[in-house]
Amino acid sequence: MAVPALQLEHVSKVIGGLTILEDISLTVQPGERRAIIGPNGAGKTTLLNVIAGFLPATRGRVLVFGRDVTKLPAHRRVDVGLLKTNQQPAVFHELTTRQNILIALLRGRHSPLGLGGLVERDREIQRRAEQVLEEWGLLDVSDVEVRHLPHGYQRRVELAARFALRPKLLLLDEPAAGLAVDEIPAFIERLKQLPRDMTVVLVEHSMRVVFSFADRITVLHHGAVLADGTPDEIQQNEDVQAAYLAGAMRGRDAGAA
Amino acid sequence: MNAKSISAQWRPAAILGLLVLLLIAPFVLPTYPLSVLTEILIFTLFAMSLNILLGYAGLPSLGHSAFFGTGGYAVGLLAKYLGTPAPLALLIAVVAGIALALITGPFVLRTHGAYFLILTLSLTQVLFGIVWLWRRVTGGDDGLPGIPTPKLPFLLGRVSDTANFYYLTLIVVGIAIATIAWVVRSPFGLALVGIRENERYLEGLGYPTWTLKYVAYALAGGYGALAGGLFAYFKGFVGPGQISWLLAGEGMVMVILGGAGTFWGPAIGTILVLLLRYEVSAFTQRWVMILGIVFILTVLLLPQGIVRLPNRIREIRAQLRREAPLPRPTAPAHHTPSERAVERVIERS
Repeated sequence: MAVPALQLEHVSKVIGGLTILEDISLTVQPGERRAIIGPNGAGKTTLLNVIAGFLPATRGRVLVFGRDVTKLPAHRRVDVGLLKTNQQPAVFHELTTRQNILIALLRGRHSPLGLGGLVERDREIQRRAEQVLEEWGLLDVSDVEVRHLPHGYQRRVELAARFALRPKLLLLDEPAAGLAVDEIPAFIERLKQLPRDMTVVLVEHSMRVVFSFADRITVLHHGAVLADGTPDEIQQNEDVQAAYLAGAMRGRDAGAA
Repeated sequence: MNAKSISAQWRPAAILGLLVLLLIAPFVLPTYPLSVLTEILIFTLFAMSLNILLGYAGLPSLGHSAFFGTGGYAVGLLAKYLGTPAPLALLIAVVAGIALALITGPFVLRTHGAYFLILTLSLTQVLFGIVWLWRRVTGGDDGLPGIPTPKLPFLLGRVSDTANFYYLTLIVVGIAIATIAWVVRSPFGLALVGIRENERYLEGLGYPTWTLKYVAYALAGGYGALAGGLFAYFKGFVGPGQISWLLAGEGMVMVILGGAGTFWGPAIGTILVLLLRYEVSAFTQRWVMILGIVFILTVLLLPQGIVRLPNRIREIRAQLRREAPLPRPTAPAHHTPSERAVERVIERS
């Protein structure tokens, strides 16, 4: 069997005496689409932050493509192909769309310090930025400061910057949050079109997105794994029904109807 | 019409013109204004070095005089005890500034915002205490007087001493400013702005943000010490006033007044502060009060600094003509199905 894209071994996270994550183990295969669901406060975002390296794990190990990254800071985890999006799009508001893309491209190209050469004279990097902007339909807003852009555009800038670094394991933290209900189907289509060699771990509250996208679902409850399985298994799991899903499904669908 | 491209087009000509003006200044200006201009050059370098931290990286240092003073005392001590020639003494001053930054960086860079401000302030106060109390070496509050003014040998006898030191300052500051321009326009400079905007997001893109801040801090320390060394030569004296936090605060005013995070802003702020000090003080003792009023008005009306005044005027005129002052995103471009699959995971609006 191939080396898993992501392996968590007994990961715990304690913050100020409060256990946020407790003994979480899970394995995500390469190319898999994994959704992590659970009620608010279940520790989903904390889990993504532990995987991405923004929060150190209190106990346990994190392996990405077989490499133990538990002790690596977030910026070094980018080297193994791990990138994460944020609930609020992680973009630089005072910079233009183009500069946002350039920052990502320059990380991929220059030495980490990048003290050499002028950005504006670097024809190659400017050409690639132009390419990315065109690919993502951002040319029209390339010289607009990102703070002036609507939420959906900011999300696109965020994703374009991350794709410029060619992620192998992409963590998406509630990417559908802030989308209108009628935008969800188109969004699901976009997610489904992600290249199959990319592994995706998705935290999402919209059950429509989760059940039409995920190969497997992990349910978190009070910081621990409550269930883990295919969408069908999860839907039929009585513990999940009791703890979360019934309410979430009912609430979401009622809201959507 | 794109205002940005026009200003970019004229930039080389403007810089050339400025350089010519600075070169002929000693033939036009009497001694006193020329020495004020020398001081403006030195403090422009000081403000620009602080701007690397305050403006670009968003690190509000209130201790930048620590580096200015370190450079000054390096020059003063070397001149007094060893008679070191100026080029070497200035080099050592820069190395001392960088070394101080490298030593103190791991402590102060653990913090952000107000905590960073207080820690850098404490740093400069500690150094102030040392030079104040270590009288035997530093001269205490008497400082170190009698630092000989270095002169450019090839201009000896051709221009006045004031003009000679002015040219020396112009060369040193000119080279330093050119290298600062190169640093802030490099990928490193863009990354510093990323730190100012959101350090965590930048780390998420794979940048070693702590290391970047450490290098920026060391660079700012080196340039700050160079300015301090030049100032010690300019005054022929170095004292605790040149390491006091008051000077750091004045540097902060220069940067914010002119425009933090812009390249020329600190130069404009320096010119304004020093002209106010020397010109307004000729007819009133209360020049600091006037500086305070100018500062408040600037922060209220031109929060990005005086350097943005032309842009602001354009914006206001555009508003008056009922035009949108800022480019707004237009409708999204039409996408064909053949475009790559990874495109636009999210489509909106």
